[in-house]
Amino acid sequence: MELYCAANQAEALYIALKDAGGEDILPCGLGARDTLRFECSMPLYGHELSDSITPLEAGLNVFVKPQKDEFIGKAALESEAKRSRVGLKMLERGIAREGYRVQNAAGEDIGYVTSGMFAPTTGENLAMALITNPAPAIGETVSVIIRDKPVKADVVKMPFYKRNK
Amino acid sequence: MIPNDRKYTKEHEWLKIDGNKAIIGITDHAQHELGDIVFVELPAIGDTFAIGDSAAVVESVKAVSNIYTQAGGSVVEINDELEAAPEKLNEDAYGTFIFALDMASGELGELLSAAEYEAFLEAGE
Repeated sequence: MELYCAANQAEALYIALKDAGGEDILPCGLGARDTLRFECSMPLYGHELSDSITPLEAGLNVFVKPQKDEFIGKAALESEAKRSRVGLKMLERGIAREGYRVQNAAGEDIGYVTSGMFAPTTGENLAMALITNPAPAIGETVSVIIRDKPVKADVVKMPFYKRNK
Repeated sequence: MIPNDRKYTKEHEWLKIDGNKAIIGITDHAQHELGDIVFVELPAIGDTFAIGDSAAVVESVKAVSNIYTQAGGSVVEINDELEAAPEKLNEDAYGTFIFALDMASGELGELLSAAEYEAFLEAGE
């Protein structure tokens, strides 16, 4: 749940929530929120999305209806997506961080990491990457270049984590 | 409390000098600033470093941090327990070393005493 309020009311709201929650709640910051959205493989603007990454490349097809007659940006989405967002799971030791290069088995550059971190819920080092099409299929092994060294990672299904309902 | 039995760097590392051996870790301030530590990249035994080289990497959820050595020499010991349990650096920064160097030439960079490091921390706040 997200709450929005006038900026000058934010402190009062924060204190009221904290008092109501007592010992059962803890404040958390952007880092915790980033981990949550990352484990659910949700794209974040500035990382998996930007003014140079289309929603189709980011895998947000469900929100785009190209059959509609007209909408802002339609022309930009009519050519085939050049890249795909893929999930990676590190097989060797290392954390793939944003901006690190991704290579295929032949050592060719195929894309870069958009978000990557240790996922506390699954206990794995995971990453999302933007890869040139045709992107490797789930189960294929690629390398992430960490401090000039290739570190093996498997392409895995997203979302990384789904809460059991 | 900043232990008196060792030296400190402005990069928030500690060095314990034992004869020719320099044992290196990060300070409690460093682990606190980094937050939950989730990954440690250790040097290999036999790697040699000059003063100021990055000899190890400590990663928290939010940041990647190089560990610079203020002692020159070759690595004689590593704390490989940290590969499976990096959080030990959060739990006991002063009781958990990262690596140890043999300072063949006894070379040391700029080091602070516990009191100087404490003053350095206070000045930074």
